[in-house]
Amino acid sequence: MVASTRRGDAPPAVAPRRGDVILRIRGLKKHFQAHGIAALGRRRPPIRAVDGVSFDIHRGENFGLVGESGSGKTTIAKLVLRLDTPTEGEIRFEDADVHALSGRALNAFRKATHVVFQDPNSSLSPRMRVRDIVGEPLAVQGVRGKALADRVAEVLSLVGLNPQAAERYPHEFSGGQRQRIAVARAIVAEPQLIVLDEPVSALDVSIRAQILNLLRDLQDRLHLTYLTIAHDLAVVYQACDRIGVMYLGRLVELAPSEELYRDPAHPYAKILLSAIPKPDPKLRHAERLPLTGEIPSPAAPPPGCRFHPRCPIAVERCSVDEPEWRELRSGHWVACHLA
Amino acid sequence: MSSTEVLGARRPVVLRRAPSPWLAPWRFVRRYPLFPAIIWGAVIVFAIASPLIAPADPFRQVLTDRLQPPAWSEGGSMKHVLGTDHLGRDVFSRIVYGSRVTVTVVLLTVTASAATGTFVGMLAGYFGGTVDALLMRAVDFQIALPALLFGVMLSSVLEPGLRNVVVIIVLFTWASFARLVRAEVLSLRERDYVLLARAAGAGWVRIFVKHLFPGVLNTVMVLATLEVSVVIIFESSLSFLGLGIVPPTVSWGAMLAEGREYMSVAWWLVTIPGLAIFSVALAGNLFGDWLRDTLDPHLRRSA
Repeated sequence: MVASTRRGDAPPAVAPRRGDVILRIRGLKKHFQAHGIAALGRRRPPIRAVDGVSFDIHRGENFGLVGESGSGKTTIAKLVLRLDTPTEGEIRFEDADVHALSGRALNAFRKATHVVFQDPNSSLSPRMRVRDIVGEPLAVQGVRGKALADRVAEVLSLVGLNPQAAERYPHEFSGGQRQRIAVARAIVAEPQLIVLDEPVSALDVSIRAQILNLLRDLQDRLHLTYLTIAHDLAVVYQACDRIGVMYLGRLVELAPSEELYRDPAHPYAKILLSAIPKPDPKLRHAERLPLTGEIPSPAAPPPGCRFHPRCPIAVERCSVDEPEWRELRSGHWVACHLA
Repeated sequence: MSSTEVLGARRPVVLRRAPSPWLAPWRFVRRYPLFPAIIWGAVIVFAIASPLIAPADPFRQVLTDRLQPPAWSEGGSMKHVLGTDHLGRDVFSRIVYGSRVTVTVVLLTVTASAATGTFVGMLAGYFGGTVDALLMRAVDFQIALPALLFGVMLSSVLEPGLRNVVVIIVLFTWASFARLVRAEVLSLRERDYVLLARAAGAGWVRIFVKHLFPGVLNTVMVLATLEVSVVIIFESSLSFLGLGIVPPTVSWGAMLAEGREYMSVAWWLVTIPGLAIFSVALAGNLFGDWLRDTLDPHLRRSA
C-alpha cells in the first residue's frame, strides 16, 4: 500500500536510532469522572482512558502508538501537548515537566511541539485564509508582516504547495492538499516534536503514500521527532522506528518495528499483525488469527490481564494476576505472563 | 436524466409543472424579506429625515383642531392624514418623530446586549468550571426575574429617560445572548482547529477573536434581529407606563398611553401607534427568520 519505505532501502533498524531522550513518559494516567446528572445518586467508577503508561521517545526517531479506538492513544496525544491535564504521572520534554511549565518556558514548549490531526476538514478553520492558518503558530510568537509571509511561503513550498495558496481558503483544496496545509502549519515554527494523530486515516488510500513520504522527507530535512498515533498497524509499521501497542489504556508491547513485525510476543500484537495484508505471495496463506468480542469498557477493565477475555491462549492465572511490564530482550518490552 | 441512461434503468420521467407566472410575485415575497425591508426602510427614513417628512410640527398644539379623525373617515381632512390628538397635534408627524426613539433604542440596546451577552457566553463556554457556573447562575437569575415588574421598580428608582430605558432593556436581554453563545462555544472549543491554536500557544484573547467569534457571529446576528421586536415592545411598554421616554419627547408607547383616555371617542389615537409598534416588531421577527434560514447552510436552497 505504501510505496517505498525506509526499511526497503536501508538495513533493518533493529536498534533505535541513537539519540538522547526528548520525551519521557512515566506512569501516565488519565481518568475521566462523570459529572452532573450522569453522576447523580451513586458515584460511578471513572473512565480509565490512560491507566499507567511509560515510555521514552528519542530525538530523531518516529515512535508509533497503535491500538483500537478506545485504547487511549489520542488521550496520550492531548496530554503530551498539554491540552489536558493528567490524573497521575509525569511527562518530561527535554527534561522539563510539561505540566509544570509556565511563562517563558511554556511558550518555548508550545513552539517546540505541534500536532497534525486526522481530519483536515476540522483542523483547518473554514473562515481563515491558508496564510493565517499556517502562520498562526508564528503569529502567536509575535512574528508579523513580511517575516511571517515569507516563512509561510517557504513552508508551503516545503510541503509541495504553491506559495500562492496562501491567499485561498481551505475549502478550495483537495483532501491531500488540505493535509499538506496542516503539515505546513505544524512545521512553521520549527518545532522539534510533532504529534501525528492518525495523519493519513482520513485520506484516500492513493494519497496516503504521498503524505507519509512527505512526512518522512520533512523529518530527515528538519531533524524532527515524531510521535505517530494510528489504529492501522500497516501505516505505523512502514513509518515508525519503534512501536508501542496499546490495549485498554495500557501498553502491552513495545519493540523496534522490525522486531515487532518479525517476532511479536503479546497475543494481541500477534493478532493485529496477522491482519496486515502480506505482500509476499508465499505468505499469503499464513493463518489469520481471529479477534473475538469487543474492547471492554475502560470504566470496568477486567481483572488480571486486561486482554484475557479475548485472548486465545489465556490461562487461569491471566484472570487473576496482572502481568508485569518486563524487558523480554534489549529494547523489547511486553506485558504478558506467557510471552 | 443522463445518469439513468448510463445505468440503463429507464425510469418514468416525472414532469414538473411549469411554475405559474401569476405566482411569481408571491415566490419573490417568500424568497426575499420584502415586508421587513419596506417597514424597516420606512422607519429608518422617518428617523433620519423626520423634519423633511413630517407635514407639521409634532409638538404644536392647535386646540381648535383637536381629535380630528384620519383623512379617510368621516369628518377627517387631508390636512391631518392620520388625524390629531387631544391637544390638536398631528398624529402622522408624531409617528414620524416617534420613530427616532424606536431606532435609537433598538440600535443602542441590541448592540449593547449582544456584545455583553456574547462576551459572557464565550467566557462561560470556553473556560467552563467555576467561571461557567457563576456566569450561568447570573443568567438564570436574570431570566427568572419578571422583566416588566422589575423594570417598573428600577425605573422608579432611577429617573425616567432614554438612558434609563436603554439600561433596563440591556439588563433584561443580554442573558439570552449569553445562553445561546455559551452553547455554541461548548461545541466550537472542542474543534480541532481550536485545539491546534491552543497547542500553538494561542492565548484566550486570540482564540476568542480568531476562532470563536467568527463561529458564533451568524447565530448572534439572527438572535439580534429577533431581539429587535422584543426591544421595541419593551420600550413601548415602559413608555406606556410612563417609566420610559417622557414627554415632550415623542415615543409610540407614550402616544399609546396618552391616547388610552380617549379610546372611546378617538379610536385612531391608540390604533395608529399600536399598528406602528406591531408592524415594526413583526418585520423584525420576519427578518430574523429569513436571516436564520439564509445563514443556515442546511436550509439553504440550491438556487
